[in-house]
Amino acid sequence: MRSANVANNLKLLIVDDDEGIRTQLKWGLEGFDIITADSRQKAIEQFEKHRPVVVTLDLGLPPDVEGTSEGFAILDAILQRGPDTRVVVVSGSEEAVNSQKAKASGAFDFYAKPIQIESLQKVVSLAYASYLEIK
Amino acid sequence: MYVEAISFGVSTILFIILGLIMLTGRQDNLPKTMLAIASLVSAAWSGTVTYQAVFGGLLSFALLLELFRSLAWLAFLLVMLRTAYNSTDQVNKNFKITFVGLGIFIVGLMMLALYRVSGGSFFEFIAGNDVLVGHLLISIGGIVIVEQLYRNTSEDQRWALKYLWIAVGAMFAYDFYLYSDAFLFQRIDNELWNARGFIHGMVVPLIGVAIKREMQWTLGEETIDIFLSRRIVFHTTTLLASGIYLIFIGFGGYYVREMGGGWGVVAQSTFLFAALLVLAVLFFSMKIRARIKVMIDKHFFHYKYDYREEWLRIIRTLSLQDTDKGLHIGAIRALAQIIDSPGGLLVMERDNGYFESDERWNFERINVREPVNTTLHRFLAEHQFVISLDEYNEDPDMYTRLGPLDIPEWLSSNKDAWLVVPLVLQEHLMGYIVLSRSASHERYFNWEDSDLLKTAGRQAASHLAQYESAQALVSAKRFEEVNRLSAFIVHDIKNMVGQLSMVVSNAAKHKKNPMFIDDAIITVENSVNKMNKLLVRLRGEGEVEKDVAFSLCELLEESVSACSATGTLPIPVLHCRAEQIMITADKDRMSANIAHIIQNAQDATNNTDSITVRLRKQNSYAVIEIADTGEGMDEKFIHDKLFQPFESTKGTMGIGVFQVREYVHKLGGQLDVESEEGVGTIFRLHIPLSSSTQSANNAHIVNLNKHEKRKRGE
Repeated sequence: MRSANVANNLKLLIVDDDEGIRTQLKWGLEGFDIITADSRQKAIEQFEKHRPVVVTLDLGLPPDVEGTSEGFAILDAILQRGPDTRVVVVSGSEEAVNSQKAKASGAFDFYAKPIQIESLQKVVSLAYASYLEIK
Repeated sequence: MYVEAISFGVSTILFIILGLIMLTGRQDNLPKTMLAIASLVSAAWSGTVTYQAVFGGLLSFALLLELFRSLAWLAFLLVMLRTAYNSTDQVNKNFKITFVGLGIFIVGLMMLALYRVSGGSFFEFIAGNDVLVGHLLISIGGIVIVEQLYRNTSEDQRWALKYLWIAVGAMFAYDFYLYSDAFLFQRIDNELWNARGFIHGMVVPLIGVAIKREMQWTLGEETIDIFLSRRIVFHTTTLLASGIYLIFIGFGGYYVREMGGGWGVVAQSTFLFAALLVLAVLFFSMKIRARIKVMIDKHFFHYKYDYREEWLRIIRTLSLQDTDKGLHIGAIRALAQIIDSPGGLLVMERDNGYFESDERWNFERINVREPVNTTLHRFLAEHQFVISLDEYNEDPDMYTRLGPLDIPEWLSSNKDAWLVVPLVLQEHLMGYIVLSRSASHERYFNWEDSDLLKTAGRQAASHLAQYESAQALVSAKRFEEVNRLSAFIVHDIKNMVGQLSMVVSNAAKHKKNPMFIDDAIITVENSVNKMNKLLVRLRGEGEVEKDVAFSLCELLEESVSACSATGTLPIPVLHCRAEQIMITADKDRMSANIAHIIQNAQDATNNTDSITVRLRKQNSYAVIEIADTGEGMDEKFIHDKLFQPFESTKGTMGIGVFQVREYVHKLGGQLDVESEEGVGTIFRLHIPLSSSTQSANNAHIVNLNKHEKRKRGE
């Protein structure tokens, strides 16, 4: 699609179990080479394979779709492997405890669903800029 | 004549034998001596009657001996009853008075009998009947004492003593029958009299059985107070009163017949039937019963209530009610029965800030709606007093000197309303019960009634609160379900809104790209699927679990592999002892449960520890063991917190283990936890095997995943 115009180091990993979300984010987030995953196992495999700089991470993933355990486990696993990775936690849960916990665990930002493509684009760009600053 | 001689001759011989047996052995206790005397006097009397039957004469002597025999038996029974009580001055005094009274009564009766035999005509109107009434009273007295003795005999002593009570009771019962008949027909029936010797003789073997069973000569132990309940006194009193009533009715019946001329027999029958009818009505009259109870309470006992019995009855009445309405009416009844109140009204505090009428029992329908802060409610809450409306009307100062109190119009104008009993729970007035007037206690309401009602009111309040808490818990669970459902709906709607809004915003740039159109259609289709799922859930059909039979070993391989892929250490190692262990369950849910416990184990361990997952078959169950060598848990945590939803040491919602256990239970299995601090933890899931299970017996390690191999340097 658009990956031909994008530099290799602008890789973005989208972790979400909703196929529609993944598909539309691929079309909507411009300027990134987008990789997707729908589970913890695939997310970690994709991360190890592509080493993306920014990750958008949904907290409610199978098998704990209605909880947050899988999302936080992935966050830990990714930051363990790439401590500088900018992880934007995207969640439908508005509970402050999840936002606080995400930030305390090292997430770059917490984005509350529903996703508006323009605003998410800004958050992801900020995440990328933040990464570049320290490099 | 010969029948009489044989009958009483038999009884003479048997009583002599009994008396002699009683005189053998140690004579160290009074009851035994008294039984010996009673037996020998009975033998003397029977012998005299036998002699009289054969040779004639000795009538006066026989009459005197019969009364003396009655005195001996009653004395024996009283001596036995005496052993049931602790030796206190009051008890000793009461028994002495009873003995003296009994002696005077029987000696008086002897003199009267002699006078009648000698042809004395004083008070001709009742000639002969007075002695018969004396005999009847003796028999009733004997039956009443036997009843008392039976009730005071402990369970372990009844095995032997019941034969003694049956024997003596039967003897007095037959005498009652004989003399009632004599009293009614004004002559002693020959057949009944002749049988008397045999009857009395028949009871001797029963007494022999009691002696052979090594009966105790005492009913109570020295240090134990034998409990004389109000119920026993009540029954004894009614029995005694009924007996006396029947004697007088028989007496009356006789004179109605004598003076009724041609209508005599008809008049007597009508009179007797009417009298029995009156007795039945009196017997079943609540009012009469209540008055007898009050009379007994007043004159026989220090305290008005038998608190143990009252308390058991209150608890029984409250506990029997299992429905909302039943419990509320039960609370009214529990309080009403204490003071024989015929009905009541329950008024409860509502969430709207008012006290409103709740249930009623034999009470007129009244719609009560009073604000919480009335003087009545404040008075009940602060002082927790039972308010007697009669007392309040007569002397309001009795109450108002404690604090302001105005009785609302609906209560003061109700003529049935008598008492207001507060229902207080933890110093909070949750309601009150208005009780109707009691026939017996109306003029006899004192501190004892008030205290018992107040305490019972607290107990009733506690029961009502417990029921309301249970109801609130059910509501809370329903709300929790609704909340969960709402959260799920909101989550899905957010996703759908996000998807569709992204389709719209992306379409502005890519609408001419056929690939985007394909993706957009897939996205919309995805949203439609989600909406359909939502509809299913909103209709209350919920998610259908797809229970299928599958190989548990394969599932564990997948779960272990998925957990290993995350890279979290330690890597779990799987040992399947038999590959073909099949269970029937929802595969995804089972997998999630296994993953959750492995993840818990990983959280509780450090990188150098180990996690082992084992699968084996045990009877008709598959047993999955997930063991770690981590920090372990203490017993208190396992007992109090591990299986509690929303309890966690990890800062998460902590619903996992609770859910795992719930699901395992749903499958008909069990989840056990074994843990030791500093040693590790083992979670054991027992899951019923599906019928298609075929197990292989050879144990082998099925899977060592790639991380583990790498770790081992393979």
